[in-house]
Amino acid sequence: MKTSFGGSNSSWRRWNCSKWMVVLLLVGLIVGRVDVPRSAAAQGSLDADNIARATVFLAGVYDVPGGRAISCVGTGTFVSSDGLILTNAHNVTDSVRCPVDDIAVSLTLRLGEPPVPTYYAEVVDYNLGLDLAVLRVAREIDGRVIDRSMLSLPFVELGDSNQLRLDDTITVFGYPGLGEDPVESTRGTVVGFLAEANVGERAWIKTEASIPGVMSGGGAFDSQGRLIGIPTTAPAGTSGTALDCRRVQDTNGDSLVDSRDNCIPVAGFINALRPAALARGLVRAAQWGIRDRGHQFSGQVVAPAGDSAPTFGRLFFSPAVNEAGLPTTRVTQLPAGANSLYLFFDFANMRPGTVYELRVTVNGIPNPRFSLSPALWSGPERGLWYIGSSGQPWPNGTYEFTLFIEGIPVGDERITIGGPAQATPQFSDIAFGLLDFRGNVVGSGYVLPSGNVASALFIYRDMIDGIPWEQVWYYEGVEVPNGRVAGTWNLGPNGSTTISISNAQGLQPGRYRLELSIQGALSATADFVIAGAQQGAFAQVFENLRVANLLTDETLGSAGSTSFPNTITDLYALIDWRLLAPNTPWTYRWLLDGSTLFEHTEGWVAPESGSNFWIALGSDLHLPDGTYTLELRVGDLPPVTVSARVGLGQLPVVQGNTASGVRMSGQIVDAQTGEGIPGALFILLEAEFSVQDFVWDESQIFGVSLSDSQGRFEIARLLPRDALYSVVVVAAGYLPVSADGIVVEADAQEPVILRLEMNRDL
Amino acid sequence: MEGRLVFPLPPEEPLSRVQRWAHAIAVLTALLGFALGFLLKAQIVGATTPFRDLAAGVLAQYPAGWLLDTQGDYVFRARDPGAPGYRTTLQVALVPIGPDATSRSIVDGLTLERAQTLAGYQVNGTEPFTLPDGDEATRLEYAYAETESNPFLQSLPVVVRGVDIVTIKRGQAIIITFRVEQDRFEDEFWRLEQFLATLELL
Amino acid sequence: MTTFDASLLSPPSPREDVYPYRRVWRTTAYETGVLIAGALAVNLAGSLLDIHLDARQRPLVTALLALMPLALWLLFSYRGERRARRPREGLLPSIVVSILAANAATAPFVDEVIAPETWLSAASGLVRILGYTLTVGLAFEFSKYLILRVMAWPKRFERRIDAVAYSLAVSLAFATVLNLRFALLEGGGQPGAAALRIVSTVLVQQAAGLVVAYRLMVLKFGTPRLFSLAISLLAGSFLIGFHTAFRAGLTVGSFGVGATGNTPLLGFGFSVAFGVAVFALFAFLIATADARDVRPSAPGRR
Repeated sequence: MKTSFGGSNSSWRRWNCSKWMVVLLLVGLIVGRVDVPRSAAAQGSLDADNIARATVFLAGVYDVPGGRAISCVGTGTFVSSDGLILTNAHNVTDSVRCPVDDIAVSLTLRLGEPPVPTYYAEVVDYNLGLDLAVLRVAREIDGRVIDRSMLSLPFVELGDSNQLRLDDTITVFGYPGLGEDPVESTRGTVVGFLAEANVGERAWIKTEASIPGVMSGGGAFDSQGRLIGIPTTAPAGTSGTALDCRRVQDTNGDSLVDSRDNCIPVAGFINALRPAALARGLVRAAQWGIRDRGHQFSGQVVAPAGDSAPTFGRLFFSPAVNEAGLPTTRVTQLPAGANSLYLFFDFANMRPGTVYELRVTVNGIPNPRFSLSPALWSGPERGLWYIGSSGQPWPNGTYEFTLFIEGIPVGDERITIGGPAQATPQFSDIAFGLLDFRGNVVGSGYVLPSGNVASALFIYRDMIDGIPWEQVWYYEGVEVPNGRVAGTWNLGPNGSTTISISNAQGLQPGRYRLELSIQGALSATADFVIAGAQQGAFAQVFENLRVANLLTDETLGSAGSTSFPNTITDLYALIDWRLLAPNTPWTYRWLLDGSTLFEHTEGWVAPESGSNFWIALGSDLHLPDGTYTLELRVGDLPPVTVSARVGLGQLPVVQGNTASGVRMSGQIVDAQTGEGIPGALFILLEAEFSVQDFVWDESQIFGVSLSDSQGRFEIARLLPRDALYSVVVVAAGYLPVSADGIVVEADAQEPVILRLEMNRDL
Repeated sequence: MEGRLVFPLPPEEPLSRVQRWAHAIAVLTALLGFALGFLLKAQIVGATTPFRDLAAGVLAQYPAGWLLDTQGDYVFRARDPGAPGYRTTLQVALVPIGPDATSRSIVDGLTLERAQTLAGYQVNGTEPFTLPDGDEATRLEYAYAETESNPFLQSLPVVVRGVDIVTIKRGQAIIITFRVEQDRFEDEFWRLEQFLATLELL
Repeated sequence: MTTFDASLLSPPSPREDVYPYRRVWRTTAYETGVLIAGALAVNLAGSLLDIHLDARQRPLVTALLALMPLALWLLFSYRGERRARRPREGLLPSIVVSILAANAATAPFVDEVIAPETWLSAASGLVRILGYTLTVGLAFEFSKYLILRVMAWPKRFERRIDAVAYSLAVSLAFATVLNLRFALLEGGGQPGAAALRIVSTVLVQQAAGLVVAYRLMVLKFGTPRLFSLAISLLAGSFLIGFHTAFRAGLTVGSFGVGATGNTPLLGFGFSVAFGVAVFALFAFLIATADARDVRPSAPGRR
C-alpha cells in the first residue's frame, strides 16, 4: 500500500497493526472460545481407560501337591457391573489339557501395570461350539463369597456386530502374556466376514490386526467403545501345530520346574473374531439368571452311530447359499469380479469341541482373509456344512481350500477365479416338494411330509440337447434302490423341470439327497428331509405344544398353561412329535420378550414318533417376569412356537446398568499437608438434589465412595452426561465441604477428576 | 544509655470487695459456661432423628446426621458418615423364621453366613440378653476385617467389632446390628444403648 | 547596656521526660508486621517453588515456624524490655508458666475432653460459634485469666499498658503451645499453609486475650464493676468462637473441576483484619483512658 508518509508512518502502521492484533486477540478470548483440537482418541467415543479396566485376565487354576497351579490363561471382558464376564469357552471349561478347578480373575487395578488377581469366577453358561462362555464373579481371592449387589465393576456394552462394515476400525483389548504384562490394545480394520452353516453370513469377523493367542476371549470394540467381537481361536496345541508352552510353576511338587511339570499353552496369533451377536443371548440369559436345562423325554435315547473318527468329504464350491443353507449350484470356476464363494462339504462323527480349520491359499500363497484359523466345531454330528463369504471381492487366482481336523488335513479342493464368464451347461436351485394336481411342486422346499412321492424342481441353463446327464437319490447317505437315473438331455437350453422319486410302501422319514450331474460331473446337489405327517403340502412334525412348570403325571397329561406366577423356577415345553427320524437336524430356540436366549441345532435322538418330549429352561432363584417363547424348526419348515407368560409377562426395567457415562474420581487431601485423607466420605447426590435438599437419606445418593489410604476415591457407577451434580464430602476432624453445579457435559468424554482440599478447624 | 534502675514492686494492696467479688463471679461464670458448653456438646452428640416403619413395626431414634438407608434387605440402616475408617452402623433387619427357630439358632445361622462373606470373621461371645422393654434376646459379639469392595481403591482392612441382638417377635427374627471400628468400640457403645432405649417393636 | 544573647532567639525546648518503659504497641506492631509479611512470603515461596515436604520434614519445619512468633517477641519485645529503664520483670516468668499450663492442662483439656472436631466441625454456623465460645474459647480465656491473675494482676499492673504487655505475652505463649502441638502431634503442614495457620493462631489468641486483660486493667485503674470481668471473659471467649467459625467459613470455598475449594488466604486475611482491629480498638481505649488521667476531669465528674 502506497503511503504519502515517510518512515514514521511505517512505524505508526506497524504499531497500529500490533495494537489491532492485540485487540482482536483479546476480543476473541473474551467473547469467543479458542477450541483446542482434541486428540484423535479424545474425539472418538472409545473410552480406552474404561475398556482396559473392564478387560480381565483369566487363569484356570487346579490343585497340585502343595498348592495351586495355573493350567491355561486367556482374556475376558466384564459385560455387567455385577461381574459377568464374556470370554471363550475353551478358556474356562475343564479339559485334559486345561484342568480347571477354579477360575482366577485378575483385574487391571492401575493402568499400565500388570493385572492383579482379585476374584474367583464360576461358569454361568457356555456354548462349546461357538466357543463362548459367560462367567460370573463369585468369590474374593481369599475365598469369601461375594455379595454381588455390592459390586460395581467397570463394564462394556455389547454392540451390534451386524452393523459392522468392511474397513471399519476395531480395537482389540487383551493381555498378551501370562499375566506379567499390562493390558494392551491392538488396532485393526475389518477385512472380511466368514459365513458358516447354522450361523449365517457373519459367523466370523476377519481382521488383519495381529492378535496374540493369549488375548483369545478378550474384546474387539468399535469406534464407539462397544464390544462387537471376541477374538477366538482353538486352544493352543489342539490343531497339530507346534505348541508354545510355558513352564512357570512346580506342578508336581518335586521342587523343580522342568519338563515333568505341566506347562501353560500359548496359542499363536488370532485374526478371527466371534461376532458379539452370537453372545448376546448367553449374556442376556446370564444377566437374568436363566439357564438352558436342555431336553429329555421318557424313553430310550437313540444311540449315536459309534465312536468313529470325524471326517470331511465331498468338497465342492457354490457361488451362493440359499435360505435353507444349501448350495445353489456347483462351480469349478468363477469369472473375474466374483464376490461370493462357499466351500461345501459333508461332515460326519463331529462333536462339539472338535477342532477344525480351513486354510486357503491363492496361487500358493496363504490368504488369511478367507482362511479360518483353528476353531471349535459348532455343528451337529453329521450333515452338510459350508464356509465362505459374500459381499467382498475374491481376487483372481487359483484357490486351494484345505480342511483340517485336529491339525490333520482331511480334504482339499481347488477353484480358479478369473477370466470371462463362461456359459457352460448347469443345473441349479433345486427345491423339493409335492406335486399338486397341476404338476407344480409345492411345499416348504426342503422338508416334505411322509408319503410315497418326493419331487424336485430345478433350473437348467445353457444345456445342450443330447448331452448325458444323471440324477442320483440317496437316503441317509446310501443310494436308494432305483435312485440313479441317467439320460440324455432333451429339454432345451434353459428352463426348469421336475423329477421325482417314489416308493409304493412310502418314503421313510429321514434325510435324503439329490445329486444332478452333467457329463459325469456333479452340477447341483441338495438335501431334504422327510418328516412329519402331511398337512396340505407341508409337513407337521411337532404338535400338541404346551408349557408347564413341573414335570408330573398330572402336567404331562394336561393341556399346560399360558400364565405362571413369577415364583416358579422352571418352564417345561412339552411336545409330541411324528415321523422324525433319528439324527434329523432340528433346532430349538428360547426367546424372552422376543429376544433370543438360547438356540441349538442338533440331531434328533428320540424315536421316530412319541409324546411328552420336554425342553426346559430354568433359574436357580426364580424366573424373571417375561413372555417366554419356544420355537421349534426342522429344516426350512415354518417354526412352531409355544409361549407362556411369567408374572407380568414383561421383563422389569433395570436402571443404571449402562456402560455409557463418565467416571468420576479424584483425591481428597489435607489442605495443610497435601497428603491424602483416608476414610473421607465422598457423596455424589442424584442430579435432582442439591446440597440444600440433602437430608442424609441414601435414596438421594447417586454414588458414594470412601477414600483409600491415599485419599483416592472413585464413584463406581458411570455418571450420565448432560447433568449437574452436587457433592458432599465429610471426614472426621475436618470441616465438611460441599458444592453444587459439578457439570458433566453432554459430550464429555474424559473422566471427571476432582481434587478436594479439606481443612481442620483451627 | 543510662544504667537501668531497679524499681521494686509497690506493696500489694488488699483487694476491694468489688474486686474480690468480680473475680469470684468470673470464676463462677467460667464454670457455668463450661457446664453449658458440655451440655451443648451432649445435646449435639446425642441428637437423634426418629424412624418409623409401621409396616415392619419398628420405631426408633437413630443418631442425627447419620446416613439412612432403607433400600437393602433390612428395615433400615444408619451409618455415621463422619466416622474415621469404618462408618459406625446401626441396623435393624427382619428375617422370616420357622416355628422351631430360636434366637440362638438364628445367631448360629448368622455366624455361618457371615463366615462366608466377612474376612477374618470370629465370634467373641454369645449370651442371653434382655432388651430394655423386657423382651428376651441373644447377644452375639464378633469381629472381622472390613475390606474395600472396590478393587480399584487401595485401603487397609479395618478391624470391626460388632454386636448383634437377636430376638423373636410375631414369628420373625429381629436382628439389631451395631458395628464400629474396634478402636472406638468402647467410646461408641453408648450409641447402641441409646438406640435400644428408644427402640419400639410393635 | 543591652546585651544580645543569641541563644534566646529560639525558645527553650520543653523539658521532656524520658519514657522509661518499652513501647508495647510499637514493638507489637513490629512483631505483627513481620509475622504477617513473613507468613505471606513463606506462603508465596511455597506456592512458587512448589515445596512439598514429606512426613518426616513437616513437623520439624512447622515447629521452627511455630517458634518464630516467640523468637520475634524475644527480639523485639523482650529485648526492648531489657533495654527500657523500667523493664517489666514478670513477662518471662509469665510466658514460662503459660507455656507449661497450656501444654499440661489447657491444650489436653481441649483436645481430649472437649474434642471439638468430633462434634463441632460439622455443626451449623451459629452452633459452631456458641460451641466454640463455651468450650474452647472459654478454656483458653479462663486459663489466661488465671495466669494473669496469679502472675501479674494486680501488682505488676503499674500502668494500663502493662495489661497489654502481659496479656500479649501470655497469649503468645498459648499460641506457641498450640502451634507446637500442631507441628509435633498433628504432623504439621506444608510451610505455606503452616505459616498462615501459625500466624492466625497468634493473632486470635492475642486479640482475645486483650479483652480480659483490659477488664483486669479497669478493675485496677478504673471503676470496677461486679460482673464486668465475667462478661469480658465471655466476650474474649466469643471472639475465639466467632473467629474460629468465621475463618473456617472463609477458608472452605466451593470446589469444582479444576478448583480445590480451599481459599486459605481469605481466611488469613480475615484473621489479620480481626487481630489488627482488636488491637486498634484496645489501643484506642487505653490511650483515651490514659489521656483522661492526664487531663483533669471536670468538676463533678470522675
